Amino acid sequence: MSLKRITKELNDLGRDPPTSCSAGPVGDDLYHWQASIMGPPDSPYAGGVFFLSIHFPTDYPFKPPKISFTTKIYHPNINANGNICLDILKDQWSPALTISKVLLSICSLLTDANPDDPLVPEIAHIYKTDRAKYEATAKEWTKKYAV
Amino acid sequence: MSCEECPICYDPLDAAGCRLLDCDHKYHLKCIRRWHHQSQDLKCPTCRKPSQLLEIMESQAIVDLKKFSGVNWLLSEIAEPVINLPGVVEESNRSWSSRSLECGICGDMGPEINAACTGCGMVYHDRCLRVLQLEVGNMGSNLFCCNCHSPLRSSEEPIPSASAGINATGSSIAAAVARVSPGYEAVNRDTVWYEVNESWRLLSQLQQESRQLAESNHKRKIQNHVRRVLHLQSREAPLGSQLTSKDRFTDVNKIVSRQLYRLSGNIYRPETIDYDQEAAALVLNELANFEETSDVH
Repeated sequence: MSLKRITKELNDLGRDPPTSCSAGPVGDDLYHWQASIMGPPDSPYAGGVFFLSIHFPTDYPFKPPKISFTTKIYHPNINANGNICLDILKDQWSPALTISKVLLSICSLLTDANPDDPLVPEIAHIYKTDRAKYEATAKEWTKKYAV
Repeated sequence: MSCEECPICYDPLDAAGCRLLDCDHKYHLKCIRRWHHQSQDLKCPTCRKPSQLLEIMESQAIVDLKKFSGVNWLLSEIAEPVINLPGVVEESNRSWSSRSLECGICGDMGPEINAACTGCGMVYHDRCLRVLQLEVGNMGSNLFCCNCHSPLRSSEEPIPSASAGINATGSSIAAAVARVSPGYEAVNRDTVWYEVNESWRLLSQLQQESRQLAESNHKRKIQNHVRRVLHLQSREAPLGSQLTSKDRFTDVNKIVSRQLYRLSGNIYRPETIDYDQEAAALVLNELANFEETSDVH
């Protein structure tokens, strides 16, 4: 079932691509994709392009895809390895979700971080106590790694 | 009429489709039930609203999902009225996956379980079935399920394919269901097939893993002997000098371990085979052969 569904998602992405994201297989292996997200304009990530790697489990869509950033990013919910702390990629996964919907959720995570459930507590602390410093560092990292 | 797709597998919804009554979202029965099994709740994947009732689109039968939990549902709906089973219904809130791997006689779980019912999906140890057969003095009773009397299948046999599964499991059970509760007939052919196949999948996966583990244990033990002999041999001139090269050492290790593994019939049996002695002979043989072929060059 998984391969058929992944193929259909790929076709849907081609027919109706979401604004600000793109995704597709890396090589011949349909279970391994690469995606890119444009930094949202109303965020300190604006102007940057962030790459992600997507691995589909063989029992997709009953298990969530494994998604991680390959571009370095300064964000309370994304750590140095690119791992993302997002509920729909874990216990809130639903087989009715798609890669396109998940990428949109990641976009909104970039605009609205969730410092109350942080993956990097230091960044979350700065986000809560000194927002200007957080935005400056996030902008700096974007310029350095994602432009 | 537009052709609706199942939001889980994206295939068209056909006669196998069903509708969650609390939110009206539609899925294939096998897709939504697989998700319910995995999520351990009855929420709709699209809107996350819990649904207790489900309607089979083709037959318009309404199914109570709280009662409908895998084999337990089947047992309470079919087997209980037919053969009256003590102890089964009390367990109805336990999940299918853990239940499916417990021997129906001794209750132990584990990879050595090696027989499963083609009807209700109950699994057994072959040894428990044999003990029971002796106790009841009914020869051949070990070939049938203690719960529903359907034939048992040894787990060494291949997993039935989708269509064979329906024929093997569906027809006898569907007939029993039709007698007991006619409205459920449409559900059962699909569901029985799914539940039984799922238990087969889990069972064979578990068996394969334990087989692989046992195999790698045997290989590891045999390889220990070979490595010991190789270390001893590497100090012996003149043939041992070959083994001072790391590549050659690894090659010989691989070749001899493989020969020894085959020689002992893929099982480590130190009580009948002297592994050190056999390994030494094979190593010397391999070293001498190599010497000969290099001399020719």
